[in-house]
Amino acid sequence: MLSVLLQLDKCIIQYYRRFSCARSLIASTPDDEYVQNSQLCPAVLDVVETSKQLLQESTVEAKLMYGMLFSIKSFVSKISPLDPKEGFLYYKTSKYTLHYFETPSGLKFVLNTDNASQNARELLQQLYREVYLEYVVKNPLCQLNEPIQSELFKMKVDELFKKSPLFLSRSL
Amino acid sequence: MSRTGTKLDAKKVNSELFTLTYGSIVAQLLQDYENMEDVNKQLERMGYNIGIRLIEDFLARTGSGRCYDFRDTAEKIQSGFKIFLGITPSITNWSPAGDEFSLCFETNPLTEFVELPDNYSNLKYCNILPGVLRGACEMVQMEIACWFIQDQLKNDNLTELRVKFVKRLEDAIPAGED
Repeated sequence: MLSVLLQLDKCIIQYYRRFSCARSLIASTPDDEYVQNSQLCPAVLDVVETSKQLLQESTVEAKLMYGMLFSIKSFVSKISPLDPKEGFLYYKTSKYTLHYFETPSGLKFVLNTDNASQNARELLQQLYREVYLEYVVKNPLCQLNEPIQSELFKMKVDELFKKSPLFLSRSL
Repeated sequence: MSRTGTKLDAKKVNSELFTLTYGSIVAQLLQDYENMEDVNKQLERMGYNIGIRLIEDFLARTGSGRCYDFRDTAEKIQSGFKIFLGITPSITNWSPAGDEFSLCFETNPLTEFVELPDNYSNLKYCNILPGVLRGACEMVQMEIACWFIQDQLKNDNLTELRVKFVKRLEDAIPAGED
């Protein structure tokens, strides 16, 4: 159990560092909303793909992120006194909240927000239903076990997040 | 970029168009492959590829979670048929262990205008369906086996698809750095 916790701790610190980078970047360019978002999207609003995909993904961060989520998931399912229905939903630090949504097919959606944000889970479900499904699953040219290249998909993700109340309240 | 709007309601497509399109796929495969077994295999493979994508559509539409047992799975498969083919097969013939059941189709949109010539008795005309089921279940960490035991095209009363639970697939742990 201890080793799990230690590993977890390490991952959180690692990821937190990346997060604070992204935050400071946003803070330094408050006027240019597009730059803000394009910096934010690939880094923080990462759609974390299936395990196979992450295995291929060479970046250390993605592996760490996946490892952390994997550990949290099994930790949560072991420590829960009841049989958990939904499992791990989110965690919160003093600076940010990580929202986690996993489909029964093993797709994992992860979104970091500030601590005030509500309903991020719904947003992730919407992302799955309205963007991932429509523009990746229904696009035969998108391989399901590779990083998503589709520009249309990226555009739609962008659109969805920009019109979300979460995004608006955050950029105020 | 022509697609606008992301409405979730199922687009109603004439089932005849679907039936005929499927028929032409089968006809083409029969031309491309000499061997009936190869055609069956290709249909199953195509179905598998459809299934691994279709499951996402199903999950997003129904918002259903994991299955508690195989009976639960059976009901979800049944509702899947309702959603995607507009038919409700009946679930029957449970094995005592509860790991095997049959889906019985009174009508099957795939075979609506189809008659099999006598020399095609080895062809499993609807073999795309077992493929779809196998692909879809695999994506939710379930390995199943699926095959036809009765077929209306072969003068049986109804079409019966047998589904057998093989095993649970486990989440892969990514290879570590060290």
